[in-house]
Amino acid sequence: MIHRIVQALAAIGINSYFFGWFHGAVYQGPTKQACVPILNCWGCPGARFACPIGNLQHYIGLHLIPFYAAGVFGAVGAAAGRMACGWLCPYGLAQDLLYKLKTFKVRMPKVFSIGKYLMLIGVVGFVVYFTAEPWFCKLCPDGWIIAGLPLVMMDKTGDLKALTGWHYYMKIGLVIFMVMMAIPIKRFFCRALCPIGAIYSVFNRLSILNLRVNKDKCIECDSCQMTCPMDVAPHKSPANLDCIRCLDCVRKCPTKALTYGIK
Amino acid sequence: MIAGILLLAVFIYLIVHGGKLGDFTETKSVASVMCLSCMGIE
Repeated sequence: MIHRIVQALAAIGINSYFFGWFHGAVYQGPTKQACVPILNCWGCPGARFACPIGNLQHYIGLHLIPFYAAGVFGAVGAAAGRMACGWLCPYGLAQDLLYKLKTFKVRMPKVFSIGKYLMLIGVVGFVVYFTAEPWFCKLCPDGWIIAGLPLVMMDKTGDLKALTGWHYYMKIGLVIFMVMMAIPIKRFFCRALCPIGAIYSVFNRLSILNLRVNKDKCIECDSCQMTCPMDVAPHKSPANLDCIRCLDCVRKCPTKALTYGIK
Repeated sequence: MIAGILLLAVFIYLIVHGGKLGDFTETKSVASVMCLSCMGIE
């Protein structure tokens, strides 16, 4: 319950420029200098902060070293690994809620996890470097959900509506695809496609805060894996690259074999 | 843990260094306009 409350408060707090939500304007205040450590479109009318992956692409496209974005990702990752994905990401929260719908469920093959590294190196890295265009933003479903949809709906002049075309409709298709995948598969986007998750995952084994398992207490009941929103087995691999440190497993463990703290 | 603390210090330094180079201002100027790519508009 605390986990969900924090996720909801983070989603609201990050997008708390309510004037923008009602008037179709984009926040331009001082906090836009700061990058949030998660995926949250800076084009969203409610966004009070900048998107770190947008910032990263901006600098890669300009062929400059992205000191600030690298620093944000690295500092958050070094402190807590992928914890921001588990506690702060609104898109992660949406997927957690979609997975709760009572339908058939499917386990994603592990090989799909490579997709997020390909997205990071291929799209955010090489494609942006050589085209100087923010190609991940062009594909990002979050951008349509919290920026494209509300801003076009609130467009009073008709200028934005007039500009909608194949790209806009492709994004709608991508959003529908992501929703359809998130209902039967645990956090499909986070595990298979999110470049931010790919960056943080590298830090999961080095971070100051880490998950630990007491093998003497563990009865291998697999309740931790069943409750895990990323479908990892914390009792077998507590520093798994896909672990988002949501700590659902720590709360669920019947023998308290899992703990979280300074490694 | 020592590796984590060292990494944290290095990355905090990168944030400060980026700030000195004007990254905060640049980020604000890029983030304060309607991102047409994000919205799916050409």
